[in-house]
Amino acid sequence: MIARQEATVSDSGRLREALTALAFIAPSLVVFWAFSFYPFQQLILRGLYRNNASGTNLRWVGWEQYGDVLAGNEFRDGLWHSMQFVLFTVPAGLVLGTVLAVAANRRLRGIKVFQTIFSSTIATSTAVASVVFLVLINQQIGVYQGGVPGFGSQAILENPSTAMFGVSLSAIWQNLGLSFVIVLAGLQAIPQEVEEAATLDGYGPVRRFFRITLPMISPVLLFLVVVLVIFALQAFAPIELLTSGGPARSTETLVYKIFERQTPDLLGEGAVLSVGLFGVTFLVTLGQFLLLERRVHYGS
Amino acid sequence: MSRGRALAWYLLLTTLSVLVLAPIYFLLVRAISDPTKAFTSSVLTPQGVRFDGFSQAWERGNLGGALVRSLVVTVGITTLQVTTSVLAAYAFAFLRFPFKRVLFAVFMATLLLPLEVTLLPNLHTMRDLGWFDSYQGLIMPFAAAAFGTFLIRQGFLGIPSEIRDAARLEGWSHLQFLVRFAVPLTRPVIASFSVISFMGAFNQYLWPRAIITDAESWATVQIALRGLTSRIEQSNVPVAGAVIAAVPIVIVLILFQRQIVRGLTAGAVKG
Amino acid sequence: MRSVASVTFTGVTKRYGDVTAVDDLDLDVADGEFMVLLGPSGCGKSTALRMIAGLESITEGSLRIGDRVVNGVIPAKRDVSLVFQSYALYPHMSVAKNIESPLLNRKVATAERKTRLAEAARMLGLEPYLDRKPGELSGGQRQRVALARAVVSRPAVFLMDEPLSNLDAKLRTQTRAELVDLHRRLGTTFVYVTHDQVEAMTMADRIAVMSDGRLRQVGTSREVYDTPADLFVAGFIGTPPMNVAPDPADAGAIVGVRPEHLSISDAGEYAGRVHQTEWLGHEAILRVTIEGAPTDWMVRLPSGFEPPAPGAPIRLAADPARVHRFDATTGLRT
Repeated sequence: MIARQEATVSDSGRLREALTALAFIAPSLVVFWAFSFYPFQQLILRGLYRNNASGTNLRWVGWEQYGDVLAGNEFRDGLWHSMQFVLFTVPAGLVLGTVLAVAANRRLRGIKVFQTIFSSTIATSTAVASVVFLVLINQQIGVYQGGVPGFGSQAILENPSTAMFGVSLSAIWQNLGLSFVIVLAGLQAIPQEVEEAATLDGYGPVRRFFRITLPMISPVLLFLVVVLVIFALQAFAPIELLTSGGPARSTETLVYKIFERQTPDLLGEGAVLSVGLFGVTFLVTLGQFLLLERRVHYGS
Repeated sequence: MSRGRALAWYLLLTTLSVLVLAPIYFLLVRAISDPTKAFTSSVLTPQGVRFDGFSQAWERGNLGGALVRSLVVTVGITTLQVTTSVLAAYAFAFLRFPFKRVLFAVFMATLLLPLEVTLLPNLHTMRDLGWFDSYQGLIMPFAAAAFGTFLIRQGFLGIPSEIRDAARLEGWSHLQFLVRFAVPLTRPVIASFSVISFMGAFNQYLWPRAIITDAESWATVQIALRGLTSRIEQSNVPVAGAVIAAVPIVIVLILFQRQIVRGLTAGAVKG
Repeated sequence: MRSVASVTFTGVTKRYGDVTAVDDLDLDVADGEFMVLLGPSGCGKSTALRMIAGLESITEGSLRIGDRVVNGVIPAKRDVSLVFQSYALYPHMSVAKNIESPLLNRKVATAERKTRLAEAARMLGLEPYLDRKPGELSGGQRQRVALARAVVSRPAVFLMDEPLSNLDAKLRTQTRAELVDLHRRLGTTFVYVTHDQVEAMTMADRIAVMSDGRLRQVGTSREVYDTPADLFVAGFIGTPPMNVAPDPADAGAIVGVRPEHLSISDAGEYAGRVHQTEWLGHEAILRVTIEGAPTDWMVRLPSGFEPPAPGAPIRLAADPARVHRFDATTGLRT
């Protein structure tokens, strides 16, 4: 009798409340089941079978295929290319977003105009951003058709050593707006008294930035890192539109390789690659939670 | 700040603006440049100015049809996401039911299963349902959103408990409370999520790319843009197409900048 | 015509897990009475009020409104209205919509609804503001809207949870008088929760003093002031509170004297030393350190009196008819 619910007083009211709740979450649950959980289960299962070239004659092979694919070249290359994409886009997004946000976090006349300009790339889709970079660095129509200094004269997207960097450029530019907006929100959440106190303590602007501002926005930067990593792991349009995975398959990321495995004969392999992508995403998210957890304990 | 320092700061801001906007400038220049003369002299100014890139892109890419399809898909996805998220958020915020915490965790777990991961089996489902080249196929996988549920639930939890008590004394049913009180009181949050959802849906690439086999009659704007890039030597056409493809979201950004910023930063800064 | 609207608690207990918020409460609020539940924060008064409203379930015991047991009745069917401390106005609705809101669910015809809205608005002087949103009103005006919203449904019982605590001091005094008028005009039962004894003393027909989830005393303002049932009531009612000290003549007893029943007299039975004097214009309060007393005693002196200097030895005499005695172990009046 102790912990009776408050919303309604009788037991039939309680049942009705639960049924209402069920009715309210059911639409989402059905969608999630049909397009997230059921397919995920299919992925795991599909990885346990091998098949012939036409996708029939399924043969149970247990975890053997997982071992083969996850230890094989395709997964390793795909993961490495995805990681390259992460390494090019995430630090750049972090630094550029912070530079733009610090520059625009001033009380000056007309600052709103600059803030709007800095956030403007939010309006672009990955496809539009890709076309923008076709215009900038494509070997046929690019404004700049040369290579990266030190990597030969081949155009950026034609050179296997620099193509991934070229593809990343479009994502870096497209992410500018989002990175700027997120870091600016973090800066604006810093109480003004803190900055003033630091100034009174005799901190110069540079020291104030590294000793006060940066630590205070570190949770926001962590959030931005996670967002950018997940974006990078999921990138597809810039690769298809700028390089189609080439040259010499040097820009085939995990997602690109999964996309390429729609034909029945490659489904088993594609399923294992998908589970691998899930694993990487999961680890990144888990890492974020652990870091956040530590921050919470540190903060309170 | 002194005049001199303010001036220096403006100089910095202007330089950064030029860097951010330069790609867009080159895009616009190329959209109105004659592709055969584009490189004859400076790349900074349009060469052999012509505007037929836009009309050619419109016709060749069937952008009119693509825009209509994109809007149908986008409005469909946004409407469904907002509706399902509001309902689920209400249950998680205000109702008591068994396994509530587990079910909330299940909702959030879908963030780990984006379409990039579940692409292949979902395509299988589409084949079974015959949903390739269809509005259902383009819309239904996105009919629910964990992010929206989370965001709107936060909004609902911000409604003062005394207001809920006051409404309870008046005897409103849950559906009535939802429509008359909860939704109007969290309008800013719901608006933010709606705009974010709209932009995300309009800009989708991977999923439409995968389930549209008949690009002629089913391409969305982003997929039509891909079609235009196949003849890249006529550079003004695909580039003009990109400009057209960006217009709807630029309009949305101009109209709803505040909501967008609030939605994008909702996870980053508390309160 | 309206139903009999007494409110009767019989052995009502409210527990949250191990915590007992209200402990075996027996209280009878008569039809038409202005009852104030008074006590410090956390004493269970708000929980008791919310149980009448149906916003909290009852763990044990029975609660009746009129002659109907309402333990299992949902809030909307209890024929009560509640004015909240924060007013709980709906910020997205106009004042008129706010006031009408309780009627929309009760099959009240449109014409009747408009009449009642107009009546409530007139009664509380809100006619000029009907089209405004609550955010555009002052604190006092918002409070009136909350009252109007409570009045409009013509409930059998009016519940109020610290409705004046968000007002400034001047407005609070004024609103107190208006609430008394409102009660007289409506003639319905009021149950009013506050921690402010001045509100309780000035408005209540009877006061129910609570502490630690238990009812300590029920009575008129005069009764709880003149004959406090125990040491808690004695200390809680009255500013400054009643002075207490162990009875030098009886180890098992505690004596209590209110500050105004003490006078300076060389023949006085309580010896002490002046600690501080506080001059307030219309009176002066003398703080005296008394041998054996746990805290300084307060003595209320008329303003014409020249207070003695701090440190001076002093003797105090108590009006013998006004000395209270309490049991040292139970705290109860003896």
